[in-house]
Amino acid sequence: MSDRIDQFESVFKSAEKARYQYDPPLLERVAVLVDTARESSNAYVESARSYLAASNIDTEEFLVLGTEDFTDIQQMLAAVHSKSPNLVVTHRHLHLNRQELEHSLGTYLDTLLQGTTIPVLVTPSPNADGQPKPLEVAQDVLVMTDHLLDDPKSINYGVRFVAPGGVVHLCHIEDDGVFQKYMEMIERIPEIDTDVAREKIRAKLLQLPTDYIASCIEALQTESVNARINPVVRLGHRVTDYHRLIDEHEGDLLVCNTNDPEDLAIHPMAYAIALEFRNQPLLLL
Amino acid sequence: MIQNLQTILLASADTHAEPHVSSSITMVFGGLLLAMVACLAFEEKLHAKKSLITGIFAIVCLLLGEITGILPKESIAKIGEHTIRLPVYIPAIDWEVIAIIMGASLFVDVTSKSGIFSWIAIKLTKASGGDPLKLLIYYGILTVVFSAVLNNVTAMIIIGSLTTVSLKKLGRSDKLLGFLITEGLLTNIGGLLTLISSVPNIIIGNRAGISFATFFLKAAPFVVVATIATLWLARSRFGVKRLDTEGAKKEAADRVSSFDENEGIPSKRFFITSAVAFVLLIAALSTTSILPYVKDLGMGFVAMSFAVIMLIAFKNEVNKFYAALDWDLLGFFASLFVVINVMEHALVLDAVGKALGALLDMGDTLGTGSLLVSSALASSVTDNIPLSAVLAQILGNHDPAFPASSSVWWAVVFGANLGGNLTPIGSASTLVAMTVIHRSEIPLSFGGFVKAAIPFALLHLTLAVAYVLIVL
Repeated sequence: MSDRIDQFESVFKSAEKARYQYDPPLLERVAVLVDTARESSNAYVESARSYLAASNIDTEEFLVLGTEDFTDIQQMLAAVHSKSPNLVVTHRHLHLNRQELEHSLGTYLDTLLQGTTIPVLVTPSPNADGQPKPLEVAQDVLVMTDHLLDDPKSINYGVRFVAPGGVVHLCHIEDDGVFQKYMEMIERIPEIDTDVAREKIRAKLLQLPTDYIASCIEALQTESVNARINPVVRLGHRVTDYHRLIDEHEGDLLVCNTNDPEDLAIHPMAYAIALEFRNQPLLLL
Repeated sequence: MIQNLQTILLASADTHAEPHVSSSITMVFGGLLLAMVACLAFEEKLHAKKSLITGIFAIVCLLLGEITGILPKESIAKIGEHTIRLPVYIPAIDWEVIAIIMGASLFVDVTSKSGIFSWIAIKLTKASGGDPLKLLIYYGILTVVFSAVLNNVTAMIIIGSLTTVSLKKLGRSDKLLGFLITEGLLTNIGGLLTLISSVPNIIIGNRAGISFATFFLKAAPFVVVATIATLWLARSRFGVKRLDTEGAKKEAADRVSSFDENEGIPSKRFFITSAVAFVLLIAALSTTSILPYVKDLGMGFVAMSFAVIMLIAFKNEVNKFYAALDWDLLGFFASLFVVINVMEHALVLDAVGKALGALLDMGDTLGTGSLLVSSALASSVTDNIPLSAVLAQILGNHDPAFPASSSVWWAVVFGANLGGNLTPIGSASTLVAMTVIHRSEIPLSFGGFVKAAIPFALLHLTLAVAYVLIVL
């Protein structure tokens, strides 16, 4: 009897599908963090301002926080908290010589990501002469998650930051290593048909995000959002696959959620991506 | 050829021969019958399936019957000019009942793969907008309808599973117990609606000669009234209320709108075929007694034919459906019929019949009412199938014979079905309800169920007695 109850419970649980609802983030107040005096940061601030404007992000207040406002980490956090911006824009290696720790975000940025819940747009490090690298308008935005269904926030931001008519690539890469590990266990259980299990579990793992993306497309069409959605759902190795995807789609902006469900300092996948992709702007949520 | 077919005679010659049977033999076999009923009542404690229990008793009864010489020496089936000798236990089984159950089970199993039942259930969930009271009413009606056209157990499994998932989705797990108890009780109400809705109906209806259409027309008004009364009582006892704010209504509607009714449909064509086949099956069963050629083949033929036709959709894997058949139930019926046949030869049924006669001699009103209530009490603590099988045999052999329109048949039908609402072991579907409740980690004891169900069961029995005595 239990197996028949389970069978129908599975049918109904499978029919229960998460549906995406577009909830555009509020971006009225933006704070730009620089590690120079405010006056010396005009080039960077203008670059950030025009980048946001190109994505139709009209801000009511555009604040610049420089060395007048903070010279250490605690002061930086206090300054950011006091202004309560909806978005922080800054660059890699804030207050850090990039040559020292190239494969790092830098302690200021690390602390900012851990100490606040404010989304941070991280641009590449300035050139050796201190000039900002030019920011391309985000025609291709890659939203990278380890579980798309739990992450509508990343999608909302991805859609908000894409240039009009651009493409938002909604990426859901199921970890093939984890899948194979479980399959190896299933292969050792005589009561479970391995081939059936492999086929069904794989199909279900990929079907859920595929259905969710379909609901995203439907919701965005209803809201008349001028962007195209490209679903990317597959089994693979996340960092390797995201590398490939960025090359394939020439991703102009990568969107990642840094909140770790297990309350670790920063989501391991987001951190790996942040370290790996040093030449793309990142929107870390 | 047609003439040959028409001359088919199935005769279990001398299966009811009356050799001398001493009262001590009757008492021994009566003891065996009581022991079997007791074992069935404690099936869970014995950790033994029904078919095994009745199978062992069938073997013991047959051997003892042969040793004591109470069984006829031979059974003969005459088919045209051919004579076939059959062991006594073959004609003892009511193959029509077995064919109906097997055919209906296979048909339901195959059509459920089309996703039609989950589609209907999810559509109704969405139509409720997530409002708890609407959900209770919709699920209640659906339980009754599914119990009527499928079987009580399958209906409870489908609705119980959906209730668990949807109430959790709505954040209303506190109402889950009330919903599941109500649905469990309503399966036994829905089980009264048609001749094939429950096994007691099939056994009694078959023995009494009640047609599918007559059964439905006579039972339907009671089912409607009892369903409304049950939902009304459930609403007040379990505190199920409508949503009162626009915000709550919108949130609930959003939550249920995420159910996709098409998820379980593997093929639209198969889905439509299944829906059409269902309607045709009901139509065919309703008209079996008047359809030329088919009327002689009976409802078992109709059920089996539809099952076989539907199996064409899975022609390469029919063995999976055969394997999924409830062989325990079929084995249980077959061996139960054998035991009852032996009891008939041992004159145990005559003895029970005499006691029953005393009950019926109390008059049309008191006698029939008492028969209904005592049937309900008996089936609340043990399986209602042996009870209805024994009573069907006794009432069928009654002299003078009870016509198909007699209310005594209905007293047994109503009593056997509704008795299941008194305790969680009274029917298979209430047992399923308990299983679903426990799977949801809601503590509910035997006594807890009885306490919750007793007001409903008393309401049902009161309505049934009034209906049988006044209307039928």
